[in-house]
Amino acid sequence: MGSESDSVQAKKTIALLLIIIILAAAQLLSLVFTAAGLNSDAYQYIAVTHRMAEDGILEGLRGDYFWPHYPVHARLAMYPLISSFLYRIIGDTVLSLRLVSALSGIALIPIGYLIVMELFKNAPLAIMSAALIGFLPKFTKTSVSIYRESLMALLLGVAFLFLLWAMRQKKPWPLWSVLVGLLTFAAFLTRPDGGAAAVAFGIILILLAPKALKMKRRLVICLLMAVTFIVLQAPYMIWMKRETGYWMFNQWQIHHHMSQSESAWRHFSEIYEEVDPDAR
Amino acid sequence: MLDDFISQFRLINAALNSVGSLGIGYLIFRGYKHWKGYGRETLMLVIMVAVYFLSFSLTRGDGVPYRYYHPVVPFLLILSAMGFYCMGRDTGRMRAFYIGFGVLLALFITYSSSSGLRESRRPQTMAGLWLAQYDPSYRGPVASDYSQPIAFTKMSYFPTFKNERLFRQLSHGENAPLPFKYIIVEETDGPGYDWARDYVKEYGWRLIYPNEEHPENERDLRIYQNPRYPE
Repeated sequence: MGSESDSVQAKKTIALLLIIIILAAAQLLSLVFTAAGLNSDAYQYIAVTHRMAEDGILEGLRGDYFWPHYPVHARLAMYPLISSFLYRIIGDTVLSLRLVSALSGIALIPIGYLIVMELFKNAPLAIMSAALIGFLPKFTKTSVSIYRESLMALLLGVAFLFLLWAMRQKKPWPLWSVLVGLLTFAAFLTRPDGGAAAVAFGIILILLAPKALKMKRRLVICLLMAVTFIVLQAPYMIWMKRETGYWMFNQWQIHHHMSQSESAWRHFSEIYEEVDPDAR
Repeated sequence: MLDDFISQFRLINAALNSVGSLGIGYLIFRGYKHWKGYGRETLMLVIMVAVYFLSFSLTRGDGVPYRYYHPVVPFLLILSAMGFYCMGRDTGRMRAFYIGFGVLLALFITYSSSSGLRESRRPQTMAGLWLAQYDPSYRGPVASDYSQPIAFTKMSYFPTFKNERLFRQLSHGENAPLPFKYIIVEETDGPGYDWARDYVKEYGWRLIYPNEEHPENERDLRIYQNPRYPE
């Protein structure tokens, strides 16, 4: 009787979650297809997405082709990269970018539900959390804009969930650990604050893991995450050094090495002898 | 430094539409009663937000747009939901509370659907689409106050903001290496942009948009064509 009632409750919870996902998806997609204009950053994402789809990922990572013509563009790669795959199918860069944002927002609803169930095992709380993620107005509007923040939220949410599974030693915990490292790298390639998220994951793992998880196992999980991240980060840093002459953790740091004005003048003076870079 | 810390709360409140902040506020005061024994789990969520809070406070201060908190809003919303759950438990009438929560969600949906996305940017979209149709073969640079109109064309964007000197080096004079074909201005913009408005008047650039087919727009966006290019 008890397990039958639990089973009925579980089905009701899943039904509610599905209703939330469907309603939120309908709202997000209607906003995608009725959007009247673009936000300021959109032009650069459109240019990078198009270049990645037409000429390949490495060409897309370079920045010479749009203002201010940095040697590598300051728009981190992951959001336009994923959008470029969608662009190859639907042929519209603006729609691809919006859909990646919107689909990230939709996917975050069940992720939020799973995080709450993992932490608190409280179905009403999980449903309320999923509903707030699905319908909070500011969150909704950002989730359909051409911003990388929506994808970043999904990457952090999924990485956090996998970290919880690794800490619970849910099989196969080494895979979850590696995936956390992979997703943290993907997050770092989406926004520079992915680095801050990596620190947060480390603090949570070392200081807040369940008591049943011995320190030795915590350090192994940490090592798996860190090694995965480094294996992916190292070739990226070497590539940036070759392209720019600078050691950087990610492309966003090109801002620190040359100003927009300096980069633009350098670019045009290299192409046209009439342009005097000293006149800047 | 203190101002930078305090401004982060304002940004978080903006990201949560203030309503979410109510839930978190209630959690702070009543969480100990209803979430006893879940301190570790709650702290995990708080740390995800705290790391962002600290990194923005120390590096950007109040120069951060609230959307930079978007990646950790899901964690904030879970904390908010915990606070709302406490509210429901404190009323002692969970069913009525859930109905009220459902009404709140319905209001959210109504509010989000009441206006389209980026309505204020519609004139830029219309201008960009018009320019793409007017000159589908031009691939060169366009000096523009904003990048959005250019995004709808195959032309490249050259910001007008404080770039008069480079513009003149590239485009001015008989043997200019890169004569710009179009300049787009929005009359409402201020210093740094105004050189472009003076320039088109001084050198007799032709106003091609708005036109009879597309009358004035609320951003007072105008497209001018270089007289060096034939009509």
